[in-house]
Amino acid sequence: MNFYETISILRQDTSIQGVKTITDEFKSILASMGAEVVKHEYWGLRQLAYPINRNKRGHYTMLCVKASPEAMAELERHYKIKENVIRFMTLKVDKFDSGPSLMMQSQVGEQEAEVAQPKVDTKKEETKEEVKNAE
Amino acid sequence: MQSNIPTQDGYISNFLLFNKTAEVTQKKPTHHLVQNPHLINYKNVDLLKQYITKGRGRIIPRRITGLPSYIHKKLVREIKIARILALLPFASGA
Repeated sequence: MNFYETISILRQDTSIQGVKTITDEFKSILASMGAEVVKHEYWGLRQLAYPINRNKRGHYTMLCVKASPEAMAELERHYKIKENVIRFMTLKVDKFDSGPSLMMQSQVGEQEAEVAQPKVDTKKEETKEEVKNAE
Repeated sequence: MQSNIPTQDGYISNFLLFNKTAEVTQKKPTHHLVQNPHLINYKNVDLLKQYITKGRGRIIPRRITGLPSYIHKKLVREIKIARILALLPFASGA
């Protein structure tokens, strides 16, 4: 198992609901391959530094994943199939940043951003509490 | 040359002759990126923007920024990642 940060940029005309469903699809693909999504961040509809396929803006999503190389290869295969994905990148990292990344700190105004972050935390807390209770 | 300058076998030591006193030979303060190399990340776009030119978006050479080579190499890598993700511009033509 390795640590990966994977970023996908979706087309500007994708609705926020669409972004959610697509990221959920990617998450389910990862889950079926036995990978664990540690962190999910939506950076919002950002201005692109240069146009990509006539898109001036894009929906940025970052997933921090604990996965095998095969799972990431499968995810990238799906990135290529999905027409809404205009750019993606997967990076192998030593460890994940604790807490929200710099991107999230810079855009305080956009509140749509925090989507799945609290869910992960509550799950972890619950398991910890269960362990305590068992003891 | 009779003065209170301490001499060694009649010669003034180089340390005093070239005025290498503590104030003059003070070390340059270390760059904040050397102290916090974890700040160099493709997500830290505001920081990376300081190391590309404003007009054409070219990476500023190390001889101008004066950074250590290992820090500069790291910066270059992260700038190039940010360019692929359209967070920073590629160097535009003349």
